[in-house]
Amino acid sequence: MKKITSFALNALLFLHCLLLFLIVFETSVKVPFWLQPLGRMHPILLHFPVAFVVLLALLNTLKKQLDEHAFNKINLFLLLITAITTALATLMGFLLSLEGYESQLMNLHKWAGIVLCFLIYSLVLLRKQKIVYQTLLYIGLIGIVLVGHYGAGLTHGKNFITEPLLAAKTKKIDESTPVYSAYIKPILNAKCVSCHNPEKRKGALDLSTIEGITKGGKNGPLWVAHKPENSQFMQRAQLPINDKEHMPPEGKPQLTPLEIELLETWILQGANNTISFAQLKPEAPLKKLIEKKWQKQKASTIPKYTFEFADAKLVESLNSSPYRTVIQKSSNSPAIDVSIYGESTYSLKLLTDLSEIKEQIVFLNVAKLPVDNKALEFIGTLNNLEHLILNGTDVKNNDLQALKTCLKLQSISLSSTKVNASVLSILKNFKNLKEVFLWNTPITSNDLAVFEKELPLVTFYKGYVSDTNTLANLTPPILEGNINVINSGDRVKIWHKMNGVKIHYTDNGDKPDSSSTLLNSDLKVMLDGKKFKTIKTIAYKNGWKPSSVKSFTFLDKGFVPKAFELEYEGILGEYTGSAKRILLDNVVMNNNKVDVSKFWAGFQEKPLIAIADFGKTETPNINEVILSVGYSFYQNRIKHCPVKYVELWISNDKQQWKLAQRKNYENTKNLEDIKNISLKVPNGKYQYYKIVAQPNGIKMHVDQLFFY
Amino acid sequence: MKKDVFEHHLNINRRHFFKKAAMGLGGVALGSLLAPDLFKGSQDAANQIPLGLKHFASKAKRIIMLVQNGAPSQLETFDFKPKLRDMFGQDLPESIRQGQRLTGMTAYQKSFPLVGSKFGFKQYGNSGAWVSELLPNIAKITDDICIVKSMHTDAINHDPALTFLQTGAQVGNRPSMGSWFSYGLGSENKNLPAFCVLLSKGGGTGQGVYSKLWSNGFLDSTHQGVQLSASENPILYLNNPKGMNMKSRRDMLNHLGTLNEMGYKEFKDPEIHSKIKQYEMAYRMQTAVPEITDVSKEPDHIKKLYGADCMIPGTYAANCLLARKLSESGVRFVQLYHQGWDQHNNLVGQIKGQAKDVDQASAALITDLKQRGLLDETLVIWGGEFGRTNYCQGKLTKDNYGRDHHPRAFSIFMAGGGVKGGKVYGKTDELGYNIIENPVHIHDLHATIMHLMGLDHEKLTYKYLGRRFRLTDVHGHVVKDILA
Repeated sequence: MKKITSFALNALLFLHCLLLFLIVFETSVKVPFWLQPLGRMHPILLHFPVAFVVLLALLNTLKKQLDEHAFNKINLFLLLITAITTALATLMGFLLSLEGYESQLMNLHKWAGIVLCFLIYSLVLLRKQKIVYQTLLYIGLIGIVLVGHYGAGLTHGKNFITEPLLAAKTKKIDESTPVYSAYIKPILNAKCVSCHNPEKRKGALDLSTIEGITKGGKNGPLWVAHKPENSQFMQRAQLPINDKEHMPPEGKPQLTPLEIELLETWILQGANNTISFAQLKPEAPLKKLIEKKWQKQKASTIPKYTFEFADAKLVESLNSSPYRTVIQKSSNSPAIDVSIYGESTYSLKLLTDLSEIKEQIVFLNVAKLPVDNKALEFIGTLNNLEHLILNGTDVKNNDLQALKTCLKLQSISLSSTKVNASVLSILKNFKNLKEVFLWNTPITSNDLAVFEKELPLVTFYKGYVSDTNTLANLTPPILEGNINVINSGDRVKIWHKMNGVKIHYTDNGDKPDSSSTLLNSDLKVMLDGKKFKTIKTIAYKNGWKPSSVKSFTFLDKGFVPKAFELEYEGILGEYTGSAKRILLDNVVMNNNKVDVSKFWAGFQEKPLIAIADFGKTETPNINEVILSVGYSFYQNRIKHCPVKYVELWISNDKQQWKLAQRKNYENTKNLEDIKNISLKVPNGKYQYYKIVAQPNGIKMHVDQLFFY
Repeated sequence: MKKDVFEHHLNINRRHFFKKAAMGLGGVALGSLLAPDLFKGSQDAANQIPLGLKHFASKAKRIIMLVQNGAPSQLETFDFKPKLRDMFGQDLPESIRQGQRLTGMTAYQKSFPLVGSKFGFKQYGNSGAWVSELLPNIAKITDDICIVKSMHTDAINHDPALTFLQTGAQVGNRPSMGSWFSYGLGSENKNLPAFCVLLSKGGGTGQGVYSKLWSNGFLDSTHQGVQLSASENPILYLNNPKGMNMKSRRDMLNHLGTLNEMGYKEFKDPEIHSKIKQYEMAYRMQTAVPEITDVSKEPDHIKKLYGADCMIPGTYAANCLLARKLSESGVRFVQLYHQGWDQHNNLVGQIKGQAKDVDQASAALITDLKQRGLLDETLVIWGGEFGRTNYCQGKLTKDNYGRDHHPRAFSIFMAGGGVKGGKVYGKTDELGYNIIENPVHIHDLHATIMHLMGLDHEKLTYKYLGRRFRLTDVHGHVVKDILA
């Protein structure tokens, strides 16, 4: 016995070390094929530890009845054999698990098994500690029941034991299942039964059983066979959602239109609760509806491809053209998606080069390319093509004949093409077709109704159809370059981005409408001796609501300096820092809407100092200088004037300057005052004008300078 | 007794020790036979999935992200809370707030008066999703979108929150989401950047958007987002200067390429090759970009669908139309930012204009993609960087109120690209303050977006500063319930 014991103890140590090692390095373990049968013996061997552990526990309960010496001997022998078989079974199970069983139950079984294995080993090691041993043994007994249960779940299915009890409730849906239990009952279960069940019985109605349904509620029966319009059920479902009688009540999951349609058709059919899908006549509307909408929804499956992977080098070489992308669907899928881009760079060769990966191409996008018959012929040779995008190409019905051989086609996009109603005969060739995109084609909604009837399994997308009743607003006309500082008689371009728009205008302050003067070409703006002129415009187009009225105010340019210089061009960064250009750019923006654009120059610490030179000869007689300043909403909010003071200096030699006027704004409250700061010039002609504007500690935005 | 102990110790002598050790080691040795690669070093290199390939097949190929910058109020858009109306003016219970930190703007407010939405809500579509009257067009397409009402984030101020939404970290210098996709999946159309950025501004209070949000971070500079401007030339400096035709440009690039190759031979700097690649792409963009940015060929009813504003460059509508055109042409990631959603005060006045700006065009984009058969392969995401408080900031009147930043719960929606349409996911409490069902963290959103694009967020990594970085860092769970 001693020898057996020592041998067994050594064997146990060996097995547990092996197991521990395998667990730690589980991710790198690779089971060779010749070892796999060992793993698969796990289901045979596992019965030994199960029985032995139970036996061990039983033996322990009989301890007092037995002779102590005999008990110890038997117990030790049994304990050792239990531990060894447990360790072996666990090891085998571990090997088996590496064959790729991945599930939560699997993990549970595996780890519970491993813990149990070490627990039994600790029984061996602690066999002399009476109390500890007893406790561990009974824990082990519970453990083995649990491990066994999880394992049985793996081989026989999770609910193996309770299955016969549950089977009565859930049956598989097939053609012989009554339509009621396959399609109608699930809807009621999902949307109604939470309130109308035997426990709650709202409105004295129980919708959980067929008896309850036939009995109806306190307002009588639910439906009248063949008469959905008289059935309370349908009436309630179709009331407006905020109606008190509407069911399901507001806030609860609502019946979908599809579900309502199905229920309605079912009542129309007679609300029969035993008739099955197979028993329905082929022309019965209920059968058609189920075929078309219901079964289609469930038919989507993940495609599995059986063809070989394309040669990676070949794919790489096909990708060398920048106008074509050839992408494998994923690292473990041989299917390939091909897209070709660039209308002006397209050539047939971009397609025909693909002949070596013909088999692998499942997706092809040639949208907006000038594809011709030869291209379509080539596409016809792609036997595994599932998804084809021909949007915006010149293809016509007959051209598509070439695609007849693409038998696996599931989706075809023909939006913005010239195909018409007769394309149906070609679409009928594709037995696997699921969706067709026909937006912006000559196909009408009447044609579509025919399509849907002929090919009930296909979904047709007509997309957005512009509603002629609701008209959208046009945007107002725009002024080219925003140039609104002009000389009288200059031509300005007022236009609209959309083709076919008519622009009407007035220049006398009246509101323009379709009877106002039509703007045909560039507009000649006469200022008539005034400083400004306002032109009001409006845009019209058939099928659209007229735009809002847009006013453009044109300002007199005045005198333009011959030379203009600035010591400092303003803050750089968010502003363009080019005040020299901005001050004379002939664009005046709205003073109340300062933004970070190229039309505003910003100053904060250093002042604006601009010197304008009007030349020694032909010096104009200037009376007034105006500086246009903006104030943004930030300044508006803090009520703090952005300008401290503005000065105008005059000189004829640029050396000796004379202050013509200085205006202080430091404490100005009304910001309107700084919109256009006017500085008077004393009588006389001067060659140089210096404008100094000091910011008031915050950002000051300047826009334009005028010399009148 | 002493003797027993002494003898017990003698039981394990050197011989026993070796014998036992041999057994144990024997087991380990046998086990090591089953793990042949154990000492071969790191397996990372071998398991690495090549860049440019999806980790698994998925529907989505491209993303259009419509960032509503400034944080639109979930309580005025998708998260309908009638209880807040009943409790008008009452103080936010501490049991709800639970010591949540507040921004400096309301932290010192004496009370936190609750305020419900001034705007009406109705249920739409099969899902019965509640949508506010501010978004009538989005309400019409609820069956195509999945509304997530249980988003939450870590940051409480705009810049960190937006940086977090874009890069998965609150501090800068990490690659933007678009850069990650450009890095992981490459470009679909090699004549256009894989990552494009479009900006627009609403009338509401705005918050800054900076180029760090579309930075490539530590990734190669080819993955940086390219900002398209609202001017006549959407991509600056792309046109040839006067007097240069395409042929002389080509000749110039050929010679420049030869010189750069010489430089590469001498210095072996891979950035030189990136540079050559970028010059070549810019050359091809000279023909590809005008084809895409030209909206004049769009039929009139498309302009009606998006709203006439889509003809004015720089508006949200124009950017949505451009986003569709870019995406349709294979741009992997189009990022829009619409500024002006920061309604701390005068919410009632400002949000109308903001909503009007984006409602029609956002819905139009989804409708337009759908009618071209592209919605399945394009994932559209709409949302801000966080939500807004259920209590009023500043003065509460019967007709107007403001809302402060609220990172604990906000709503976004997604459409297409393998997301379940007609679904409402997640729930907040009666007062719309805390999430009570299915919370989705920004990291989870990132993990889910990557999953939809066929990438395992734990596997797409880039080694930098000695560690492998991910978009989701060490977090993120894929929200399986919203996958179609």
